[in-house]
Parts: sequence; C-alpha cells; structure tokens
Amino acid sequence: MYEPEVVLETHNLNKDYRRTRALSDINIALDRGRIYGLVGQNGAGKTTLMRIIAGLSQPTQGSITLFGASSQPSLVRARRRLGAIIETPALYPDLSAAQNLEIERLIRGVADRSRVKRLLQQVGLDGTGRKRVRDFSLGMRQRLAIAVALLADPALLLLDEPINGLDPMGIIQVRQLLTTLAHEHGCTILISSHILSELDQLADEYLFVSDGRIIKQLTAAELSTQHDNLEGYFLELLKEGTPQ
Amino acid sequence: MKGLLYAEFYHLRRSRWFHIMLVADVLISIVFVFAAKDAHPLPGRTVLRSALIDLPLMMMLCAIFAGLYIGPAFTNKTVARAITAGHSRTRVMLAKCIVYLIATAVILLVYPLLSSGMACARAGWGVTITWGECISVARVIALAVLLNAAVCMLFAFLSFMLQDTGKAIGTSVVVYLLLTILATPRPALPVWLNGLLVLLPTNIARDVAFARPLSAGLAWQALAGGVVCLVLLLLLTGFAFNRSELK
Ligand SMILES: Nc1ncnc2c1ncn2[C@@H]1O[C@H](COP(=O)(O)OP(=O)(O)OP(=O)(O)O)[C@@H](O)[C@H]1O
Ligand SMILES: [Mg+2]
Repeated sequence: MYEPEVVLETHNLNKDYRRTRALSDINIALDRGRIYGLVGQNGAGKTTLMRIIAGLSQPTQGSITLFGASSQPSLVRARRRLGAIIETPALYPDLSAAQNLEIERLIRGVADRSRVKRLLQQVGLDGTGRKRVRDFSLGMRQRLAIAVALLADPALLLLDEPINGLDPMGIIQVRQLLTTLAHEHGCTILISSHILSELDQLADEYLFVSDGRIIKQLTAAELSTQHDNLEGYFLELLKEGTPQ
Repeated sequence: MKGLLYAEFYHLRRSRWFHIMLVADVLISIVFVFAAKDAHPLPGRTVLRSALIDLPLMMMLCAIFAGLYIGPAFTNKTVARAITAGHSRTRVMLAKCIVYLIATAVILLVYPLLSSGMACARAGWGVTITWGECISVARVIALAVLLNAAVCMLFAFLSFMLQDTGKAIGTSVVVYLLLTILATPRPALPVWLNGLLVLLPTNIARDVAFARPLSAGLAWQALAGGVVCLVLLLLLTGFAFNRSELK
C-alpha cells in the first residue's frame, strides 16, 4: 500500500467557542513513524486540536488532511487507521476488559479474535477476568484505553495525557510500547502530557502550544543543543511569550 | 454499519439496565394479568386486544430506557469512540437507534404476549385459528410495534440532543406524561389543535387498538403515519447530531 510520508496536515485550523478562541491558525505536518510531544499550559488548546483530528469537533475554519484524505467522507474512512485516547478513557463501565476490547474489535471490523487476548497481556490486564471496568482503578482504565487505541493497528495515535494515573512500571511499559510502535512499526504518535520529564524521554519532536497557537516547533536534537531539559526550555519559552 | 450493529447488540445483551427493564416489565405484566382477573376466563384473543390498549402504560419503561441506554454512551464517550474508529455520525446514530427501537419493541411486547399467552392456555384463543385470523393478529401487532417505535424515537431524539442520562430521562418522562394527557380530546384546546392531535402516533395507536375489526383504511393511515413520523424523527436526529458538539 502507498504510504505517504506526511500522515497528518492541518491547514489554518481555527476553533472558536462562544467567547473563547481555542485554536488559531494551526498549521502542522506530522511525518510517519515519529513521536510528537504536544506541550502547553492548561487551556492552551491541546485537547481541542486532538478532538478536531479525531472528528469529535468541527473546526470553525480551516481543514485537515489525514492520510491524504481531506473531503468529509474520505476523512471518515481515513479515521479507521486512527487510535485515540482523548482526556478520559472512553470505556463501557458495565463490561469487562476483554468485552470492551471485543466491542472495539466488532466496531473496527478486525477479523483476528486472538488480538484481544494478546493486547490484554501486552498492557498487563490479562488477570482481570470478569471484573467490570467500573471497578477498575484509574491506572487500569488507562491501560485498557491504551489497548483499545491499539486494537486496529493504528497508523496514527492521538494520546491526550495517556500516562495519567499509571504506576512507575506502567509508565516504563507504555514508553517502551510507544517507542517500538513508532520506530519499528512506523506508527505516528501525537502525545500530550504535563509530565515533561516523561515526554522528554519519549518525543522525537515538540510542538509548543500557547493560547491556541503553535508558538514553537523543534526536534529533540535541536532542543538538546539549546537546553539540558524540556522543562527548563518550556519555562523559558513561557517567560519570553508573556505579554509585555 | 454491520460492525456497529454487532457491537450495539453485543452491548445490549450484556446491558444491566436492559436486564433490569425486562425483569420490571415481566413483573408489571404479571401484576396486570392477575389484577385483571375476571369472573370467567377471557379468551386469548380478547386479552391481546385489551393488552394493546394498555400498552401506553408500558411506554414509560421505554422513555426511561432511552436515557439509560443512550445517555451513558455520551457520558462514557463510547459514541466518540465509534466516531474516532472511522464511522460517520449518521451511521453511529442509526445503529444506536435501530438497536434501541428493537429493545423497546421487546419491552413493549412482553405484556401483550404474556397475558394473551396465559389467557390462551386457560380459555383458548376464542375463535378457530385460520390464516385470516393469524394475518389480522400479525397486522395489529406489527402496527402497534411501528407506532410505538415512532413514539420511542422521540425519546431517542431527546437523548441524542441532551447527551446526558439524567436530563434525558427527566425530559422523556415529561414528554411521555404530556403525550398521555393529549391522548384524550381536550375541549379546552382549539378545534384545529384537537384535529392535529389525532395525528400523534400515540393517538393513532390507540385508535388501532380500539378498532374491532381494524378497517383497511385505518390500517393504511396507521402505517403511513407511523412511517412518516419515524422517518422524520430519524432525519431530525441525524441532522441535529451531525451538527452538535460531542461531549
Ligand atoms: N466545550 C467547550 N466550550 C467552551 N470552551 C471550551 C470548550 N472546550 C474547550 N474550551 C476552551 O478552549 C480552550 C482550550 O481548551 P483545551 O481543552 O483544548 O485545553 P488543553 O490544552 O487540553 O488544557 P489541559 O492541559 O488543561 O487539558 C480553553 O480556553 C477552554 O476553556
Ligand atoms: Mg486537555
């Protein structure tokens, strides 16, 4: 299959809510097989951007091109290759972990039934049996949400604060999982997190968002020549950016 | 679309609320059956007809179930999950409504089938069972299902608009009560409004339930009324849902 190098492009994306402008003139391009860290303060517009890419919200202006598709029906089809966790995990609380994955398998039309079991093992939930998701801990839900997002072998993963609530072991496992997915299987990952020390170990490239704008975009290599860590760089960027 | 429908049925079969609704449904039906005990047992045919007249009482369960089934899909964001998985909003909405309407048909039919079945066991059907009799019973039941689906679709529409379990249940119950009040002609209302009220699917369903025998004219009118109402509400729900901001 023909694989474009640019997986996602946004063109002058704007999003207005009644009184607030959540996004203004967002132009980004994500390349295949790279991990992009989305960094910004609370209310910067990270979730809004991911919701528009995932089709949950319509931009006020502008458009996106996903896997080369930009018309409405082809965008809907292109989203079959998308996996996402946006804000809180989207799960059926009255079903077990395996049943949640089974539903996703049906929705996605994935023929391979054994994937459910393998994914449960991969995220360390194979011991939960018939326990319902409503009785899961926060970290367990987060792990299940990651399994759901991975079910259909996505080519683009949108992860909005996916490591919230994970234990140290879980964080390490997810980091290894995401790195393998991106660098060995060519999956593109857009991940937001407030835990900058973690993002620092994961991302190949950073997008800094403030007040609905991309104020800076640079690679991990570029950043390391300017600063010894992401946190310091971000704080400096904010200081520069504060209104005079 | 097939995948979405499979997933919806998979969920419905395991839905705690659906099971609770069915249990409540069977219990209420049993109470009705025993409360209506006559001096001499009535034949199944008569009991089925009077059960269809009482059907609007069961509609309350469907109004509540709309909120319980569709509301959580928004608060748990499983609707969002289906959209992110590459399905159009129209299809996500259709799959959910189809499965909800089938569930309500099951909920509504428990009482008439149970009560007429029990009556039939005690006192027989009432007339000799011929092809003609089978067809006329099937026609009455099919029209009841269609007209009730049209009413239930109104509750589904409200649930899709409100995107919240509590609000959806509250509003659906109020609408249900309003429909119940409007089921009898209101002399206080202007004549033209009373004329329009005749077109409500709840009121057509009542006319169909009372008609013995059901005339061809009324049957066609009920079929057309039910289909038009159902299709209009589906279009309206799809239109509004495509434009709404998802939770
Ligand atoms: N449904 C909504 N209605 C009105 N305003 C909204 C809505 N959703 C988001 N906003 C506004 O849009 C802006 C961006 O919000 P967004 O959720 O994208 O931020 P974020 O970067 O994800 O923040 P956080 O780090 O806290 O998750 C905020 O000012 C927010 O108030
Ligand atoms: Mg956010």
